[in-house]
Amino acid sequence: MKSNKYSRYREITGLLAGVAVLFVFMSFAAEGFFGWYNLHNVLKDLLILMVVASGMTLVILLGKIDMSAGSVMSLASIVTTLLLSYGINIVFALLGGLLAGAIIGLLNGYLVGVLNLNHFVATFATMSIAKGLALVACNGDIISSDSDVLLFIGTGKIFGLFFIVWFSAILLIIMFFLSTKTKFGYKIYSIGGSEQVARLSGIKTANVYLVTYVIAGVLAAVGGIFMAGKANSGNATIGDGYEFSVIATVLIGGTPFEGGKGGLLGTLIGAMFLAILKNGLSMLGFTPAWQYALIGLAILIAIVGDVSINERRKAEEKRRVGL
Amino acid sequence: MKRIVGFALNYYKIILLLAILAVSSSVTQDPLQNIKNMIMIQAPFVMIYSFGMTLAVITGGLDLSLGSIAAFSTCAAAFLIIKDQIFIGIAACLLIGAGLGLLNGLLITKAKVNPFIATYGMDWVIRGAVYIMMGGAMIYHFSSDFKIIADGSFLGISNLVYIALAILAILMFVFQKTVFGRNVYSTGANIKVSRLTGVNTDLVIVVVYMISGVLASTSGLLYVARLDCAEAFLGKNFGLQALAATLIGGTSLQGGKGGVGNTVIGVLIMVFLMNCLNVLKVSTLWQDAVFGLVIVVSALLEMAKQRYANYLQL
Repeated sequence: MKSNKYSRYREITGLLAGVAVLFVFMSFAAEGFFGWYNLHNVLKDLLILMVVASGMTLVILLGKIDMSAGSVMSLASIVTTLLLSYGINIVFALLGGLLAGAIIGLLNGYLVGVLNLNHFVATFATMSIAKGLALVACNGDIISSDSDVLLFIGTGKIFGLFFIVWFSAILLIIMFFLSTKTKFGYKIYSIGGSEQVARLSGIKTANVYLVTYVIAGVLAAVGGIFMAGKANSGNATIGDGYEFSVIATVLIGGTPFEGGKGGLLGTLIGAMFLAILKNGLSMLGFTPAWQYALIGLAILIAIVGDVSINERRKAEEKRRVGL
Repeated sequence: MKRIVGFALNYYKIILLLAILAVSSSVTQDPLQNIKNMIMIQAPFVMIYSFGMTLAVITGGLDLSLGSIAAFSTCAAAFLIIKDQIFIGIAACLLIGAGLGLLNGLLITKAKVNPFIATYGMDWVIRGAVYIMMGGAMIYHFSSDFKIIADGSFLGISNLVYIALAILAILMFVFQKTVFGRNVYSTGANIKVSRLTGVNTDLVIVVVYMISGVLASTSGLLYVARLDCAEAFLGKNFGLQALAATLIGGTSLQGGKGGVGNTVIGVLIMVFLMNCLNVLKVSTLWQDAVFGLVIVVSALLEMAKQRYANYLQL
């Protein structure tokens, strides 16, 4: 156990070193990268990514995946702005957006945790369902909002820092607490370690799946509302492909697909890495098409690297046990 | 009751097909023309790339990069075809498809990335590459020698149908009658046992993804010939639609079961369903949601069938 903790510590410092190198490189190479205005925006993007990724981290800790995160963001942004356009109070509009995320999350949890469908395919299907519903709801248009509150959520500042920064910080502290200090957090880790053992030791696994997927859905919806606030409009393509960045964030942060290992701290560093890379590439003057391909490539490399490291580790463990 | 449920679970595909046909036929003016149109023109495209998905699903994986492979290979080939280098262009297109499939296969077997993540990731990377290559432009106005591939007909039946049937026949032969085909099924059913009995499972998987890539670029090429236009957005929905058609056709996600024959029915269901929604004047924006629902429902049906197989004496 001690050596495990030690290797995790080394992994985290290694990741941080990587982020530092990238940060220094971008500061020198990309004009306009190093400066409060830009870095403040990087921080905002980082935290939006991190909020969605913290839900995904819990799901991946369970050994599952949630492909629907990006579409849920789109759906939440559409539902919120659509409700606003009907003249509904902002509070209920926001709750409506969150509720949409919770419903898709519940559906995911039910399909995966209760009906035992393949989690990739089940959430891939709910991804297209959520995306389809978002498209149908907005009729393919962008829904603009004239709500000051929504605009404040996306771009407003408190004490010189974006509202998003404050809100996400509180949310993340809650998530850290939930995943490391509560019974529920331990249940997630133990199911990820071995679902069978967890079930035999009396954990109601279906409930844990349901709750975790709902949390992931709601957090994705929060991310979608942030995005809607940034543009002060809802758009059915806001989250297209975002799930891919989110999954990569979690993997770069050292939470492998097999589940039961890793945690939110690593994910935070993974989010730093991706946010700096994204912003830096656009500052370096790459066109959106190039950014699209380069970030995709970086993500794929990260995933391949993650898998191969884990394979090697498993082989090492097998050798030690003498199999 | 037992018998009815058992019958329904066994023949749900046929029942579904007939039900959809009945609905759409009751609305359209000329049902026969409508059906002919679907089978002659719409189904062959979907069929060809769905076969690719089916083969990947049989090995226990799946291929979500079909659409971007189709876009990349046809856009690259279009530069040649527009200069009347038709045969070189077609060969290049199929080669690129095979090459990208090879990359998928290597990611899955050598780098040991989950097939879902590997092909989904490749989808984004390849699509990005297409955007870079085309830079927002389109290539159109091909020579009629090229367009005849998709536009022409023989004995009153569209060339597309012949091409799809030829591919179906070849695939059925290869996957039912040859050693390679049986190896694919055994790899999908149980990869460890297959490896222990001497099957080179890595090679089998790589070849299957290469075939899948070639099929994707074939259907892409037919699309380009039909629409007379190569563009970066081609095939945005291929992966989703092919997965839906494969699963509703009865090829199991667990691998080793099903086949391209099943997918023919799956594709017909999907094509008829989309047509049915069209004639009922349902907005095309519903497409994504419908594909997702079909995937969920067919996965559930598959599960129900397995769980109650003994009880219903299927």
